[in-house]
Amino acid sequence: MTLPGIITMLLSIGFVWILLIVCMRRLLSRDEEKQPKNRRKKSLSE
Amino acid sequence: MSEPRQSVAAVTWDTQLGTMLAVAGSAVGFGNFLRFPGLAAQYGGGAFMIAYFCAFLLLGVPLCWVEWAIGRRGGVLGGHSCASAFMLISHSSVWKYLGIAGVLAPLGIGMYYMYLEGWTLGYCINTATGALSLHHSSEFAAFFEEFTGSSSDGAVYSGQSNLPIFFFIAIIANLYLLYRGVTKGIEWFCRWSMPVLLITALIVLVRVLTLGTPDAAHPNRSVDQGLGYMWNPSKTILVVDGQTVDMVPAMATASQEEQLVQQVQKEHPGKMVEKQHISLLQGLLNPELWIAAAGQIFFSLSIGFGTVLTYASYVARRKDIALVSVTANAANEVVEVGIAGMMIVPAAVSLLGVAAAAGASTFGLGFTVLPEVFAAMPGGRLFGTLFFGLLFLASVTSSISILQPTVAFLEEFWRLGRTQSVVVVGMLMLLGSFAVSWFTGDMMALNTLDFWMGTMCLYLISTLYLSIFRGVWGTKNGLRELGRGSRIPLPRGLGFVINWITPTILAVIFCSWLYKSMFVTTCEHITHLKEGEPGAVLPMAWMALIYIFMVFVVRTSKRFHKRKPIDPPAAS
Repeated sequence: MTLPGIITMLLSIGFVWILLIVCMRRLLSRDEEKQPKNRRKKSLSE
Repeated sequence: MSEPRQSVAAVTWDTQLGTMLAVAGSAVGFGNFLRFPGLAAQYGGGAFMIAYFCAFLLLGVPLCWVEWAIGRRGGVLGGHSCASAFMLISHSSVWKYLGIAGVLAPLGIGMYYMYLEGWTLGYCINTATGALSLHHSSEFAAFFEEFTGSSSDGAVYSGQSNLPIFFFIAIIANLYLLYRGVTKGIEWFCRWSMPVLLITALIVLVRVLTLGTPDAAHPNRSVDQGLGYMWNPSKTILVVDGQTVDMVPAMATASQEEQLVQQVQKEHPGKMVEKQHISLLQGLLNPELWIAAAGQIFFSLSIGFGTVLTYASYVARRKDIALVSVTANAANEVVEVGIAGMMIVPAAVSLLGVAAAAGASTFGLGFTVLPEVFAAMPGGRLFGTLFFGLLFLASVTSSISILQPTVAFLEEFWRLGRTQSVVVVGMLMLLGSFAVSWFTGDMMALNTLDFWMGTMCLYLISTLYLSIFRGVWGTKNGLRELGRGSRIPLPRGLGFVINWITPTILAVIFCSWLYKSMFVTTCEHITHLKEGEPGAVLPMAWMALIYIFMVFVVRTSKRFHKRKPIDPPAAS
């Protein structure tokens, strides 16, 4: 495997992984926003 | 069992993550695990990957956003299928009939998808039970022919193959999951199947990447060579009779290179061994490479399948769709480029050599070459079972979503309940699937449906999406819809890309393909229809009847007549 090959591979795979991680973090943070409210309700009822 | 009947209007996705997983699940399937490695092996090299990423950024991402925006707008107005969404957005009945293409195509694709699912499940079980012996590599081709009945029409039902059992199981599994409804069925299924799929794929990937040089007699067959074959932008290959037979290692000395040429010459006595250097520029100037790369993006991201549109129609108005779309695309690319491509191509090169990897057809790579790969691996039975099981899971998540637009279409136009809609879809699909499983000689029915429904229709529907988004709805209105509730800022210049860049690329690709099919080489699929081949004519006649049935459904429906425009006119 040549150096340009390694660079192409790292850039391509790195790009899609970084894109996925960044997007997932944003997506999960939105879903998690709802959870503390539920937990609060649960703890109050307890 | 939980309540399966859910009215169309009341159904929305439970969570953003669930939506993303379901959409990613619909995109991850045969396109990732069979088609992409096949094309990467065929066009092997950094040039294909560069074209592939250009197509991903300039066609894939914008067209997915367009489909999401149209789908959500249609859903807000009360339409969950391509036909109703087009009608509600355009306020024109003509678009209702054009939109039927977006319901017909996924149904046609679903017909052969079910059959291929039967293959993968059959290979999984036969590998696990030992019916597919991994000790006799010479028998793999014979097993494939007998199992799939590719020798003649009706061979699958002659009693020699157990494929009909797996085919039946695949159909039942799909219809059951569809019957359970959107949030109860698909989201639940994708929530557990996607992580299982990724974990299994990663295990196989790690095993492949640690293979090293498995055969000391062939030092040129190594994982490093496989990775080089897939990623090196330029390479020197050895060609015999126009076929790639080997690749010169990147760091080879002149004597090692000479030794390799002599070895290839020995394997092909009396034939001329040519040494060809392919540079990055040479690769990028090949129009076929661009057509293949763009076509793969369409197939892989399910653009034009109508499934994303239907999924988007179940997303509430104030919820994000832009981020969900990009996340699903990214997840699909990670599985395709980061896992499937890295797993199959290096494994095939390291265990079988460059010639076998480059020469295999798309399905050949998966079903005839991979058993050889597993046979040459320690623990091959386990890895083989895992791989085909994983492929079955991936394809089921895809086919559920492929059938969803037709279910939604019947639910909304004829006001059928979920059970009735699934029954009608099941009946329409069963006849087509049976034709695919009967006309297996040269896989005539499968190839015909794949070409007309899985290729031609995708370009047509994508063009319709762009036309309605840009010309009827107005790009500004469309982008406003896309940006509503978005968790990410939309890129500057997206309107320009959607207005000019994407349609231009789409037109160039389509015209190149049309020119090539019509004038350079005679299109075999047109020839088959002209010659009246039953394996080509009957499935297409069935699709034509289904289209007429869908037109009848639309005409007899009292819903979706002309209504007043809701959106303000696009600012000039």
